[in-house]
Amino acid sequence: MIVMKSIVVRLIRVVTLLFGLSVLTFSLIHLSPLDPVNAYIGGDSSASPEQIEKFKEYWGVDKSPVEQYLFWAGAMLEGNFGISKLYRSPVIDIIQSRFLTSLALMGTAWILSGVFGYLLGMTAAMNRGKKIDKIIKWYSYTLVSTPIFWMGLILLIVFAVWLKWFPVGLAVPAGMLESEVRFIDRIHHFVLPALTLSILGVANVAMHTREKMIDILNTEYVTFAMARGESRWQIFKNHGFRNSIIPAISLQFAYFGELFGGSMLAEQVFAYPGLGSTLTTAGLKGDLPLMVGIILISSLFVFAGNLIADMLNRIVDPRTKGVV
Amino acid sequence: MLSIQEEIEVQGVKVGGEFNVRKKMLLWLTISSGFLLIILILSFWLSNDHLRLNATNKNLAPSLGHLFGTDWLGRDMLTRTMKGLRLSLAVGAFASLISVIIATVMGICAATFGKAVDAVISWIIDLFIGMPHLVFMVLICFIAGGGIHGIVLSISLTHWTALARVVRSEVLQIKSAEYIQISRSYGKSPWYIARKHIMPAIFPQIMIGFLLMFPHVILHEAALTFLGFGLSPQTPAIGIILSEAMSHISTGKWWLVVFPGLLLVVVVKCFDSIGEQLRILLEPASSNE
Amino acid sequence: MRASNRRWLARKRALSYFLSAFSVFLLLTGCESGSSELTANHDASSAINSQTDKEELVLAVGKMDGGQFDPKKGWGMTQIRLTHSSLLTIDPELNFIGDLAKSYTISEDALTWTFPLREDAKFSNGEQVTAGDVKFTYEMLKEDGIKFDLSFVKSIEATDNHTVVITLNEPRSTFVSQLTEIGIVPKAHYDDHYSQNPIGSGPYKIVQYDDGQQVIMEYNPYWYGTEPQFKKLTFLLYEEDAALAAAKAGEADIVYVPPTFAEQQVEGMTLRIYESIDSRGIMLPTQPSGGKGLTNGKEVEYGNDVTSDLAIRQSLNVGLNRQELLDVALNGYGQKAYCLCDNMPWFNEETVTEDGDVEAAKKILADGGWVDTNKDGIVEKDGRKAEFTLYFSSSDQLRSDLSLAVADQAAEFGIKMNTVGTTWDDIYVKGKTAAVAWGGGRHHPHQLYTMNSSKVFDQGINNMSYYRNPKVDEYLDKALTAPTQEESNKYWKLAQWDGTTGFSGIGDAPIVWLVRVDHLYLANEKLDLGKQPIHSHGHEWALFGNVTEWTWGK
Repeated sequence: MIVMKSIVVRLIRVVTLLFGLSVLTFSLIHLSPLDPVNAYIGGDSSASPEQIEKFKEYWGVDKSPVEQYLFWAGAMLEGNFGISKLYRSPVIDIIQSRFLTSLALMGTAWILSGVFGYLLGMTAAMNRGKKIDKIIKWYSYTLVSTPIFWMGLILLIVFAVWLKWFPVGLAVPAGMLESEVRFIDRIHHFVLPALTLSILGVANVAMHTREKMIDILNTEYVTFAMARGESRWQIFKNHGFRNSIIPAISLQFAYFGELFGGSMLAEQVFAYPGLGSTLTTAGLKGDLPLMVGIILISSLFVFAGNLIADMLNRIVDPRTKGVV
Repeated sequence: MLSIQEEIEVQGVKVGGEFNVRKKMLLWLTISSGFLLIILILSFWLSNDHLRLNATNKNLAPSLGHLFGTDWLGRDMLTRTMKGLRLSLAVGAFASLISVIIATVMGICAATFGKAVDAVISWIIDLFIGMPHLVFMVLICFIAGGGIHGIVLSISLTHWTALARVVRSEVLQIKSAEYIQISRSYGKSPWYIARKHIMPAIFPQIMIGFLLMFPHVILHEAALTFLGFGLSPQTPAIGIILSEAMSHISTGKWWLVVFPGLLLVVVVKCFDSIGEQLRILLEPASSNE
Repeated sequence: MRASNRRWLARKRALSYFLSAFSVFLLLTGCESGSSELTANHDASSAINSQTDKEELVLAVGKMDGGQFDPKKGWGMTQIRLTHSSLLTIDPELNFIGDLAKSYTISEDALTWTFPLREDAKFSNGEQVTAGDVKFTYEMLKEDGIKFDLSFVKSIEATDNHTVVITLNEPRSTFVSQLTEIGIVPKAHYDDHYSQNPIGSGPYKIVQYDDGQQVIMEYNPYWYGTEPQFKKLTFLLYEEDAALAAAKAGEADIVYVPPTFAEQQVEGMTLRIYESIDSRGIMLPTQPSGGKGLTNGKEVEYGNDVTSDLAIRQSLNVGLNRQELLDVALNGYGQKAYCLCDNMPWFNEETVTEDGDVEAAKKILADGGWVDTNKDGIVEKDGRKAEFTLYFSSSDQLRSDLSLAVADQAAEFGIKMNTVGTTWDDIYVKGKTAAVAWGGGRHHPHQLYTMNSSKVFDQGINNMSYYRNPKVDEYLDKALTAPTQEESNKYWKLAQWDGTTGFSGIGDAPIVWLVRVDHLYLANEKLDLGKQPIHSHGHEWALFGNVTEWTWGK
């Protein structure tokens, strides 16, 4: 089976890419001026040089980069991502707890922006040249130029500060025990960040779907169908949907990278404790193991997204060769 | 990509005859560039004295004296915004330039030096695309030790991939062209061919790539500085201005957020439109790809 | 058991996230009534404020979880912690009095300290606090040595179940302050995971800690002191802006506000202003460039050719206008500072000077050879411009604003400072070659030693300016090893200024101290916070020294 073979080849490629990524990440961080010792000891200590030596020894800072990498890569393969210097607990635990929070956020944004983007693109294409088409196009093009964090800030001003509909930050209400937090509370804190992330994701899908649909509408079989007297709904149902949905989905998968970047910014704006904001903190404070952990996990996601997008494209158009 | 007509509609200009279309596009081009020029001139013309700390002018809402209001240290927000945009433009220009150079070199190498090199480069491109961009930028910002050069480097190293692919396929196409084959049969070195034949042929592509990269670069610069990477706080940069504004949101100082952000959007749109218009003007054929 | 429990919670949480993702989707696709219902629920949950017999407080005073409840990680370094008790404590008049120890005695040679422990002290799990626990805590921290320097301690002995004897290698007048900072941990329950299950003998115990979000504490029924009115304290780990929002939404009873927010009116809340010893100044390298030393064990360069000139440092002390700095950067909420220990018993009042005198500053500069010959607004000496970098922590808004204001003022008398905000890590690497916005201020004078003695060069982040003055060193040593507080205070004062030299601004000025920051809180108008002592460095904890005395008016 050619498809099977191509899938295996792709998977092997992803594995080599992940290895390359881990080496690259590690060497980049190793070159950086971040000092884990300072990060650990903090700003208010009177540690003597001997004490710091001891500490360095314990954390393996004195070993050669290669040893450090091998040690770390080996541990990682066993599922041990090391201990976060910032939070002083296993990286994998931190990632796990933040991951769910982020996944909810990104997942919602991903689905919402996909569905709305597709609908908008479709509406624009079916009403090509009309007012609604122009509005959708203008909206999409403006959104592409809008920084996501600014959008978040504006939503914050309008809905949290002026209208007071939603809280200003965090994922759960203040002063509540974990067991008391209600489902509705989580949603309440969840809406604004998710909305921010969704609004901007729409543009990409909308514009591509619109193009794709216009191409489809220009094909002979659609012209023929129109001549046969099919309604617009019938044309969409019989030809448009079938031919445009897979490219749209594939595009959404390829959008994972942007989505993660977007969530970093949205989480920063809303003080939402997900992977993105944790990465920002880890980056600013020089928490090496945590940073690497999050980078690898998020990259794994983006690679997976690209892989799926690639596969989908292949299924739709088997002629596609090489990278898309 | 969209057809020419679509593009024009996007910019809100009515479709007319071929000549009229060109004229309208030029007009649009002029407006966008003019606007950017005004921002540049303002950024130099507005005096640094407006950025001095002032205990009496703190937290003023927008007025005639301070069109964009003042911040919590009494600094004029119009001046800060303009200087911030200038920084964005400068960073954008540098980063795009470096990025374009990397993309060109990578693209040409991939297309000329055989299968092995091509495979390696496409692996590298995959690697760079696979990493979430912002994460990677944050990382590179570190090794460079922050600062403007950190930002420029981090953005340049992450934005070249798409253009590199374009250059690669373009070069592959040119390589099979007759005159190259002839040149080769005369025993010209690959370097000579690259310099004399390939470079001039792909130059327009590179120029357009440069311009289209600009908006992304500016947005990413703002995002990086917003997160607190790269530049020192209090530097007039749009990302920093907005992240500072964030800590004053619940006190109702909306003007710290609205105007700087809005202007950034307009600037990015201007560049986007300049890039697109030039692309269509220079090579109408490519707009159908 | 704990772990499996957590995993179960995580799974439950995962499920609810997926559900929430799904229902937001429904909500956004046109379920209008849903959102108004949300607001209603929200209002109901914040109605706790109207209770009259109030036993719970919600507080947003900053990130107070540094050290994560473990003394080894730095918990208690600003002296106040509600979860642990220490041998001694400080009363509102700044006297050292017994806490876990009923009293204390010091031998003639000031080397042997004896502490009879109270017998009714129990940990929050009901177990007795014994001399063995005290011995364990001190030995563990001495061994670790990172957060608390106990290297001068020779031995810690538990002579019986309720008596601890600590022997020192040399007299140490500031040891008494460490006795108030070190919280005692139970020997039987202390391990590397202590942070997750902290057991202490303070008035409160940790019930829940959501990393980065909140800490919930409840009254410890085994607490031996006064029973507080408030049985449950919830600390929201908010940034300042979010804290203000919480106050406005009626979700918090006390919030810390930075000076920029002080004018915010919040219904039902009043602004409480507390003077503090929390000082800010500009650290200036005193050695010429080219030296190599250590910061936190890392090799760094030190020295700066501009700031090593005494005229530059002294002109800043005289030329900077402290009142204007207060007005610009602190909205007026602060006091002028001259010595890191202003108004403390060990403060030398002679160090107070007239400031904001640009002409005097120019004269000092001119006398030192610094003149603006090329009329560019910056003074020069031997062809070198009076220009240097001023680093500040980029995560600290106050230091950032203060640095900008300082640079703005210094330009008036011809000194150009380029302000650069960066991380503390970066500051520790580059900080010895440039000016740094520095801070400190405790209820004890030990920092005077660590910031100014040449004996602590290259240790941690001590004496960043590489200041060395034999006379000052002599006074500092005498102060540290003085057997009594009175005698040590005498030498602390001489070290600041003895009439001819000293480390204060009128002397060598390795650090030009500028302002003391008032700690500002918005608190519910019904809340009586008792008599507050002058606050020490760190607004997160300074307020809580007397939490057991707080009351709620009707």
